[in-house]
Amino acid sequence: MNRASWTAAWLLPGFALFPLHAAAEPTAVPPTTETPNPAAPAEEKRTPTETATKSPAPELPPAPPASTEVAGAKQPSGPDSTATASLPPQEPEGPLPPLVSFLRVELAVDNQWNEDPGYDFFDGDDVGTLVGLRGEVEVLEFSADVLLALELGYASGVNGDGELDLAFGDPSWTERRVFAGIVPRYEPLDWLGLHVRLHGGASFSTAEFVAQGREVEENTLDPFVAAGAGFSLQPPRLRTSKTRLRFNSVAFGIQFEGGYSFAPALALAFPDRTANGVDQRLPQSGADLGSIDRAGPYFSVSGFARF
Amino acid sequence: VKHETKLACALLCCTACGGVEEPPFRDLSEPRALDEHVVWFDRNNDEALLLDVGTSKPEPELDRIELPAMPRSVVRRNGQNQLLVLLSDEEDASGKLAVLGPSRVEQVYEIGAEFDALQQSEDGRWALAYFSPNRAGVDPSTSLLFNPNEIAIVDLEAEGEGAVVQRTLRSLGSVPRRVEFSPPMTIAGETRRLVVVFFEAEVTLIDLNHLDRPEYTIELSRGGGLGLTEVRFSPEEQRIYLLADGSSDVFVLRLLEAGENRENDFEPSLNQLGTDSTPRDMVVFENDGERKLLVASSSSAQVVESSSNRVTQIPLENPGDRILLFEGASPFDDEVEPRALLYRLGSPGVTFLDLDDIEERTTRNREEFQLAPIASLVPLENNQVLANHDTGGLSILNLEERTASPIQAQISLAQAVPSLETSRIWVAPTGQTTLGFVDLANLHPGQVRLDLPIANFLSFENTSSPKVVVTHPDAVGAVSILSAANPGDGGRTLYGFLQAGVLDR
Repeated sequence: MNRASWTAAWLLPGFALFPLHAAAEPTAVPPTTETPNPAAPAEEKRTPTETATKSPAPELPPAPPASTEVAGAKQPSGPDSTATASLPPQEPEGPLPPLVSFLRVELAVDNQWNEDPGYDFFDGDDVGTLVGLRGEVEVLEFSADVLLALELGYASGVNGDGELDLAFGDPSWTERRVFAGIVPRYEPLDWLGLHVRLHGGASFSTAEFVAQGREVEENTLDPFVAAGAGFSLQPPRLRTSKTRLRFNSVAFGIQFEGGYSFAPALALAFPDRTANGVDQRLPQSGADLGSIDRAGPYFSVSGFARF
Repeated sequence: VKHETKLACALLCCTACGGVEEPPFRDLSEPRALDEHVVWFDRNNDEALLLDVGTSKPEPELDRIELPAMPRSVVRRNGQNQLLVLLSDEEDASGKLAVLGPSRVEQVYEIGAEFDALQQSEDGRWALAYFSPNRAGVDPSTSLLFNPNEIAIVDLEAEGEGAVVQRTLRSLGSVPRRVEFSPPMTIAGETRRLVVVFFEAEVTLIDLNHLDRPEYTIELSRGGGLGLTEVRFSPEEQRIYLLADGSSDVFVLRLLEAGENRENDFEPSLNQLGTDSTPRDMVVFENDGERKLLVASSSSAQVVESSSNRVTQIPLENPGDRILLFEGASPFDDEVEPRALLYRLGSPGVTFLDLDDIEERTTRNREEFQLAPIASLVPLENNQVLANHDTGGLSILNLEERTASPIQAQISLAQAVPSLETSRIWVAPTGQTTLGFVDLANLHPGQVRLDLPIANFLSFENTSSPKVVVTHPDAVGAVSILSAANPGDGGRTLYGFLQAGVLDR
């Protein structure tokens, strides 16, 4: 924790402030002007040093003309502002700032193993697939290669080719998950990352089938938690900006993860009906069909973009 | 360890590990009533499924009783709250007889072969398993070889190996067609039951008191094609009367004390009583202390005094080849005496015969009664008879008053079920959603509308309050439970019980 850089102090709110930084990003600071940007947090200064340990700065490109003016740059005000404005913009000198990334967007395919025999009613094999989108922001950097990220995500899937019993038809199980998680990451190599992922949230399930012409639908809202670990492979990052600020690079990669998910069992039953004298002459008691244990291992493959 | 295995599998596999083993589908028998349960037999899974309908608030849950082999046929055990289930083990083509109680299999008897027919004594003590005559053509999937003359006699009150006696009946080339148990008869000073096995032209008598002794085989005709059809027992006379399609004679077997040269202590003696046409039905009745035989042969009735072989013929104006014997008064005679109703299925009109002094009074003891063609006739209480008509509708025939109260119906009433305990006649037409009933006290008809079509009707008189249960043709399982006393109130449908817990299996 000694080396922890509490970028989280502003990164968490900065996740929301991100457009402000993005607007300031093109601003070129003359290398001769060492005055720190009062708008920039102090922690940001440490970032190049720390990041440089794992991402050596690339070779310097030719310096642009000093008179180059960047559109949208906020001009300093004060007595020298006129003179400064009349001078041609100065190209920054020295090494380019290190590549920085703190945001990850993933498109994931989660294969959830359901070994409960009851699941076969809905799906002929034991695997249910959820496709989802995750957003992950790095909030805490313990060292140059160890960090902590938070994630938010959504996933959904439909399973419905099970035909274990001819008494039923059109079985369908739709699941939607909204979740949040915490992801410690360790990046020992530029192209390799290891991670542990703990996440949990709400699972909205709709189980439907037709029994002798009668449609039966069961909607449930249950919590779930999952824990997994895996690794990611990513090629070198591409620089998208010459700043040391956010989004000066992008990387695409692929991540593999295995884990175990826990969720309450899904109980299904034929509905009870009260007599109304019209379409239900006698009260009806419906049988419990049993429950499906939803705890089981999962395997996730995701493609990600890291900014 | 299990979870670790799952995790390893998950990490190594991206796709499904393979298909699942599908459980066998059910092959259910028709429902039966047992105590307070509706019972189905699942031939694919060798189990009995029991639905409790006796409680005040029945639940759609099944109790399962595992059977030792595949159920083949079921009959209710006479006088007991049990079912007799013939089981077939296809692995070794062996058979079993299970006694199923309300909560468990109470007894299993090894009966050797895969018998498909079962007959039992009136008191439910004895059962005889045999091969039905058309078994080979109907059930080709059973054992490769079988002996059609093999039988198994089971003493249902005994346990162990001694409870079952297997034997092969002597045969003159034919196979058993039918089996009947006699009532207790005192023969040669000993009260016993006999088993009568019908062949095409011979009968076999087996003494249930002495199963170690050989059976009697009595050849009734050498011509073949006799076609034995009916048997009546006269215990007081120690006689057995037999009828055959191919003969106009009544065959009489007198059961006499045997001589010293017999292993059995009795022996049968055959006699034949000739009538003028082929007799179809007969009853034994007592008049003035003498036992007589009334025989119906469609166009006439004969009264046979077997002691003297005297036959009195009474011509009939209405055809009658079936006899319903009753004792009661008549509109012209308040004396309670033996009387008979003669009728023929499918023919209009019936005939009443007053059997007292009928040999002298002949047609003067005969009265015709016009009635729509009869499809079936079911005796009720108090000398009433339910007549189901071919043309639709029912009649409640009062045998003493000789009146008929018609109940008209919009549908076929072939499924009318009289329930003496509830004093109602229930009409449960298959495929309809309305259950009808007639109160026998006042002949008032009523009906209950159900939510699902009717498949089967079961009556439960032994429950705390008598109930009727209607099953519905729904593969997930559906029954409607109604109060027999007040069908319109308090009914309930249980739905989905055949699939209860399907996700947990």
